[in-house]
Amino acid sequence: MLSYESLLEMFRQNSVGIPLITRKVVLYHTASKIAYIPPLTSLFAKIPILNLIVALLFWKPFFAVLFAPGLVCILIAILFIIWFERKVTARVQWRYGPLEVSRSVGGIIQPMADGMRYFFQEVIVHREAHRPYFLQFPLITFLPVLLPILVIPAGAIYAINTPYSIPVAIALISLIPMIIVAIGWASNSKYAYIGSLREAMMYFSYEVVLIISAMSMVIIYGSANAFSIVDKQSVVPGIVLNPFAALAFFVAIAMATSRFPFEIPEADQEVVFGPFIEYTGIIFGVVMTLAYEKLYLLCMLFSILFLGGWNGPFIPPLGDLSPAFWLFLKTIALMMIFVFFRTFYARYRLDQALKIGWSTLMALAVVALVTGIGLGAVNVTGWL
Amino acid sequence: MGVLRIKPPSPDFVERVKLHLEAFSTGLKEAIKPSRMTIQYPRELRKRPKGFRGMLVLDITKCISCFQCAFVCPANAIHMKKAPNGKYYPCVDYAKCIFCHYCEDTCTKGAWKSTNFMDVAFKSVDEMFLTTEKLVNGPDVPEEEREDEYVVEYEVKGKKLELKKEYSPEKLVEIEDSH
Amino acid sequence: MEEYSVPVPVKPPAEIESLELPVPPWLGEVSKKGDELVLFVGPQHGGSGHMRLIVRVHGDVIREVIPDPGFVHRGMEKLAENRLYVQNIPLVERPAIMDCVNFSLGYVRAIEKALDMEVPERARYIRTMLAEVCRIGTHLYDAGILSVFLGHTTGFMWPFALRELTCEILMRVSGARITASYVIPGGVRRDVDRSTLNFISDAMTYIQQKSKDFEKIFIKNPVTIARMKDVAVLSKKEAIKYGIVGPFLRASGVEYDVRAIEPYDAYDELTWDIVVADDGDSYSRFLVRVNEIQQSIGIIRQCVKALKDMPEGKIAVDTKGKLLDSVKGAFFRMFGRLTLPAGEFTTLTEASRGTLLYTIVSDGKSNAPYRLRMVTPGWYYLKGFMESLKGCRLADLQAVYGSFGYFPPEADR
Repeated sequence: MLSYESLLEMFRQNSVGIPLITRKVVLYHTASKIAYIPPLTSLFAKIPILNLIVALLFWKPFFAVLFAPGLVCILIAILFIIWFERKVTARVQWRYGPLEVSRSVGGIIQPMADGMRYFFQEVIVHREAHRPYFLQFPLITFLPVLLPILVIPAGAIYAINTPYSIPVAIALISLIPMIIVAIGWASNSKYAYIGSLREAMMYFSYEVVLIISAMSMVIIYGSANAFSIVDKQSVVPGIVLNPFAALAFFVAIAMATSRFPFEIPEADQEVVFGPFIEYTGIIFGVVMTLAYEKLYLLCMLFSILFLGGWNGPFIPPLGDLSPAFWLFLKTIALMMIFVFFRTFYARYRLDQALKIGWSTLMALAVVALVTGIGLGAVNVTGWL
Repeated sequence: MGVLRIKPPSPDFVERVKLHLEAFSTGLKEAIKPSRMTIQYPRELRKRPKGFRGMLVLDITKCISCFQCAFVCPANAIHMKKAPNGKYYPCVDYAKCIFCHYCEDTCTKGAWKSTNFMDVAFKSVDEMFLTTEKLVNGPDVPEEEREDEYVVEYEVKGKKLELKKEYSPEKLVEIEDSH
Repeated sequence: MEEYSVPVPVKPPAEIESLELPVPPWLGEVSKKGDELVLFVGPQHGGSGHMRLIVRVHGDVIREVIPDPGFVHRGMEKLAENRLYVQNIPLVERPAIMDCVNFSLGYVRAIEKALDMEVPERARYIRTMLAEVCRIGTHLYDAGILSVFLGHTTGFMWPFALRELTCEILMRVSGARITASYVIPGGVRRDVDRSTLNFISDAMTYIQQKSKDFEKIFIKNPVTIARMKDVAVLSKKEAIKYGIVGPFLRASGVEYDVRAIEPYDAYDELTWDIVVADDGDSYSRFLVRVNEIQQSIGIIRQCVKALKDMPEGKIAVDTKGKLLDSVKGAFFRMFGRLTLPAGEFTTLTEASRGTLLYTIVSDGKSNAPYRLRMVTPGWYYLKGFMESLKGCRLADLQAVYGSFGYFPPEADR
């Protein structure tokens, strides 16, 4: 039987320690008096309901999903990466990019302005749509986006510590294309139909490669637990051990998140945003960011598998957030590379992408697997 | 006059990898050191060259009411209206004008003159019909409505395109002296 | 390969009955059966331009494309019948955005043919030079459209930025950025001064230099090559059969260029090459135009050199054969009461996208043409464009569209 106190105690036992906000801020300190601002968390420590809410927010599993590396980090990443994408593309294209909305900071609030515009735009549901599904699916997309956060730890902040974290995360991420296909079906329009068909085909072409290259790394490390994987990369990151797997995983991510040159399901000159063609207003905003959310998750997986995850110098004021910060930094850097592809690539055709997925990329993945088995057999991470 | 027969390239795997890298490096080069050529319009105006075909100004003292400009106007934008002194003078309907300046070339007395200015917005369709009085004064931009700070001109120096910036002139509208 | 029919829950489009579409009635039935999809692309589609393409798709493969042009038809031939001869010059250059000088050149030459005018040498060189500037502008424009149809946004922005220089040249020479109205019967309207000539040759240097970067990032990009090579192939025989014109005909291996076969203006006094490719696919159609830009730059360089050596002035001739330094003040005297002798006068011009035909029929009495026939290159190659799409993938629709540089306002007139 869970009582109020035991619940509170459970949350507090496993709470995130961030010295920056849980430590009291000393204003001045003399021999006789100390003046300080009490820490944010202790402000509500005595108030009945609020203390439970605060404790819940800082409870590690909840914090992981809601703040870092979860929803808030995803939002920050999306806002930044959309701005960065537009800005770097403009730079390469001899333009300025978003600037007018806030000239002094290079137009960085442009994605927020766009989001606001989406928010106040009318949401049109066309006559042919399967109305309930059409409106539901964009919201359901948050499920496969946030569920993998449960098993992808960010250093000390984690929700579930399981020996199967990498396979479970990949399995949950693979739910996203299902929802996109369902969105296309619910839209009941020809372009959405073609778009969701393209999405399904792309799913078919990258998924096997993605799984094989991830598994080849799991074989090298001898464990699918994210903690032991990151531990074993403390000296040599995985990208050096098995560059083939890294390359295959990298291209598979580009295919999975419809980055260039594989921006096939959403090709706006061909099928006009494909599955999402009928969406307007804030719902379009939600489905449009789906690819970026997926990119965030897969980049996080990439940095855990190949770039040493949250390994990095410890930053004392951030406390438990420090590893999460390093993971976030690596993820953002990877996302920046992916969005840069927009500047110099056209897009492949669907059949060409399928061919690449099942020939060159598959061969690369098999090489990666063989390398992985070879390195795993000699237990390379053991004597590094 | 010869025939240049081109052979489209068909790169093999190694060449393809090389071409991928070349495309990437070209993009990266521009990202680091972009060769921008944007002119930020309301703040920076394009420099109009000599002989620019802009809005028209009528020198009424030279006009002899010969109707030739109205006759030759391809868009029928010039209307001749009777003035109090009994002579007919042209009015221009900018809703129709296509800025071909046939009128300017037609005028034997040089009464039509061009300006370097055409960034004009009218508040209504009726306002677009400029009567002779308005044509004589020429287009006018109030000082408080001006947003321009620079006048920009493209200039190729060596292998680089330079955007030559000058501070905006005091007077935005300049009447060209032809003849 | 065995074919399976998959029941696709898509109704025949209601537009087939409600709009008057150029679609045979059985096409609605086709989509009911379920193994073919009738797709309407355009006229508001991002990859169709101002026209509707009715596409029959089987799986991912296009079976047939039926064009529905005419969304930007402005009745130019009829409009031309009640205007003075000289008033038609701004009209006939409207169809093609960047190709203004080529378009007015054809019309003006028909008038000159009727009146037996001998154009002064300087005017001929200026005309040739500006026609080639317009050719570069149009080819850059088409390259940009092709790139964005393939999803390459940088390939879209760079040619459009370089095209800005051709606009700048037109502005400095004629006074207007796009609709120059610069060529008149008997010559040109203004002279070109030395500093403008210098700017033109500088701008050509810059375009040439930047097109090297463009080649790296788009033309020889492996993705571009993969997308366009061996797509929508038109053999030499087919290309001639469907009446393809211009660079698209030359891409199929036919050495035909009006500038070489029936030289006009200064083309026979300059050295340049006809660019020909043998493959006839989308990629060679694009490459031919890319190489034509280089040829045009060569022609412009020669023109600039010739113009610098020539004495300034004497840029027009009036109907009585008198040479003029400037048409200012003489415009009405020259063209106000211009009537052509009775007869039919036809000229062929090599516009950027191909052969451009003008026929003026004059009754010998009135000061407006009795009939102006204007056949634009877009209209000539529309049939071949549609035929070449058969058997392509659906995603190739836009790539082929861009490779032909089809421009609805030009074709619809």
